[in-house]
Amino acid sequence: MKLNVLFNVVVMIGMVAINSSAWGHSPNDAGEAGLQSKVREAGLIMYGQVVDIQYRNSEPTKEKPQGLPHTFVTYQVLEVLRGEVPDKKVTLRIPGGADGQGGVYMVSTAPAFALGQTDVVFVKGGEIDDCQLVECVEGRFRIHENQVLNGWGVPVVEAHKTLRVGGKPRFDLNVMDIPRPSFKALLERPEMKAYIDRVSQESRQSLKDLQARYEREAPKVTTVNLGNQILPIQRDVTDEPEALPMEAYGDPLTPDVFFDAIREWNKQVGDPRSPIMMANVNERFEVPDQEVLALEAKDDALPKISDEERYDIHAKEGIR
Amino acid sequence: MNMAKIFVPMVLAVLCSSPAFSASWLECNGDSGKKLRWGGNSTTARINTGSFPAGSVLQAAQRGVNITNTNPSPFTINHTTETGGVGSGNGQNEIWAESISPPGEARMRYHCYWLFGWHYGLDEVDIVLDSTGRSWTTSQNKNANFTYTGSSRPIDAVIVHEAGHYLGLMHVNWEYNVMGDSWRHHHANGGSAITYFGEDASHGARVLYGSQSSSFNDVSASHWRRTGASGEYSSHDRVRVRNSANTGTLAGITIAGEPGYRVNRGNVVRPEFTIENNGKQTHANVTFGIYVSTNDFISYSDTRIGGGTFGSIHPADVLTITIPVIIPNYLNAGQNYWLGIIVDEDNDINEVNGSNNRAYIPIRVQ
Repeated sequence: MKLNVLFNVVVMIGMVAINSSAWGHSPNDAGEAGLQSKVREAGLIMYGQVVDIQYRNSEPTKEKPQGLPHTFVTYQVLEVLRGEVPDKKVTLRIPGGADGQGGVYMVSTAPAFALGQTDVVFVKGGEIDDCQLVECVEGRFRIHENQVLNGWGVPVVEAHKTLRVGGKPRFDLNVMDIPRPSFKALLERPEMKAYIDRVSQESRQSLKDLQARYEREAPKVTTVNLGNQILPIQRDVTDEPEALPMEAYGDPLTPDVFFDAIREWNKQVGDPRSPIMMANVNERFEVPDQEVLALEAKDDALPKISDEERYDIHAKEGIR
Repeated sequence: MNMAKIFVPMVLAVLCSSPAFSASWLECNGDSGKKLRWGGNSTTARINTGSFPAGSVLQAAQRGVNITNTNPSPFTINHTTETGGVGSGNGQNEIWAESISPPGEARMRYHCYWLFGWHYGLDEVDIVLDSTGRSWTTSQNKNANFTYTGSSRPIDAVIVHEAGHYLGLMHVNWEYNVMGDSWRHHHANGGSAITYFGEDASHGARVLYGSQSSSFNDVSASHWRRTGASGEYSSHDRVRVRNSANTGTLAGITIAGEPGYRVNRGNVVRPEFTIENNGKQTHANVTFGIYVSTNDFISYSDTRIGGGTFGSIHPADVLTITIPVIIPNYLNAGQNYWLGIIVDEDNDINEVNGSNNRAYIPIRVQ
């Protein structure tokens, strides 16, 4: 009985620890957690170069009749920092990607890839689940021009004591390659077929001619990138100075420093719990339909408000 | 000739027009003229009542969408409810909850290809909230919100962030903005902490969709500010009270569960406040007053101890500013007060929302 209680306590502490780690890297949850938990969760940490990208849809389901596009990204392994690799090339499955008919599926917490990119990736061990990277996009670090950046191109400025990521992002690194869909695949979509038929009528070109033109003129690869307006925007004009920045960020780490930090944590957290599984682009895979769950929320009582607040008509301007 | 008379205005002119970042988005084929956005100016999101049952939970989700819609672009997310299954690629924009790692995420479908001309745009966006492992609240009360004195995460705050993705906006770490740390992006006065879309995201919405034709004015004040970045997200924390020379921050103290500062009577201090123009046009000569209150609700019936005008507030540059003010000698030593600001104090601007013009910082008078 006592052992059961102890076991439950250990399990609960473990769940809290894992959950805290996940929170620290959640969207719009700007906490800062160390590298330690990422290293611990990883079955493999490697430095590699993207040498192949393919997109496949999961098996159709009731709610996803076309399946869900996924990326199969293959890295040429350049260096292993934790765990073991089964081959000199490692293929990983990541949610999101091209659907083969001109469309793209993107998850705000998942990375996108382009050929030639060099990364350090933290790969989860065990069975392949929704995303093979530890905390998905947060488990990818870009190595570019002897600098370390996170999955979105933001400089990594500290990794030993705490993982500190901040500073001006490299927008130019946020690029996703999308291969040209085949003409045949486009024709399978009714609205595309209608459009192509219209072009055919207006240009008096046969479908065969249009296909030849498409294959001649359409780029073999298009890109989607992160855009940002960098224009001289007028600043606010005030008598008093703008508040001073609270945090400053130094130069990005070099790969050597980052690799050392990973190796150091690797020694401390022990061996990976399980080896990674290699994704196979030729194997069919399933992504079950989502189970809609009720969101349980506290319905807190209204606060007691003062008469001053209740009857302040000035504070009610324009509320609509 | 006094060179400073020439040099200083030149520097100011350069500073005023120096390159600044604004919101971010996705672009097709590396072309800033091909931003990924919706084809029209409205779409409908279906809120799944299996996740958000009728009542306060559904209302919180709807409120998050409505807050997002309170921006100066013409784009509107209409919302309705649905039951049954959900999925990406079914042609429906849906909002539901399931077990996921992050508190929320957006799943976007878009297209970008050449077929006798370029075709690009958003096709479907689903918003998913995590249903397990988190304490959520439907409330806008400070005493429910974990960034104030509560312990739960407001549903509407995460909806607003994800709905920013719905419009086509991406994360931002270089401004105080809702596409960064949306948990700490509130207008608070009295007992409420209201999440909002904010200046940077509003500017991003205007870049994607243009400005709405009807009048849309809204200036606001917040006691949150950007402190730095946590990866691709801006990190936020409460504004501070600085010393008169702005070389240090005054000693801190917790007052009514919130971060406050120790101040001395007769001293000049510099409270920080974040001022935003959430509208579509610049406002010149925006009046403001600095007040001291005996509670956390700042109003005109509090004691005015300072004020002035902001020369101009542009709708694309979030401003956190320090404002010098003398702590009056007649305040009681050892008592807590709340130092507050009211922007558009003279009510010159016809705003869509005047309730967000006030913010406070707790102080303990020494």
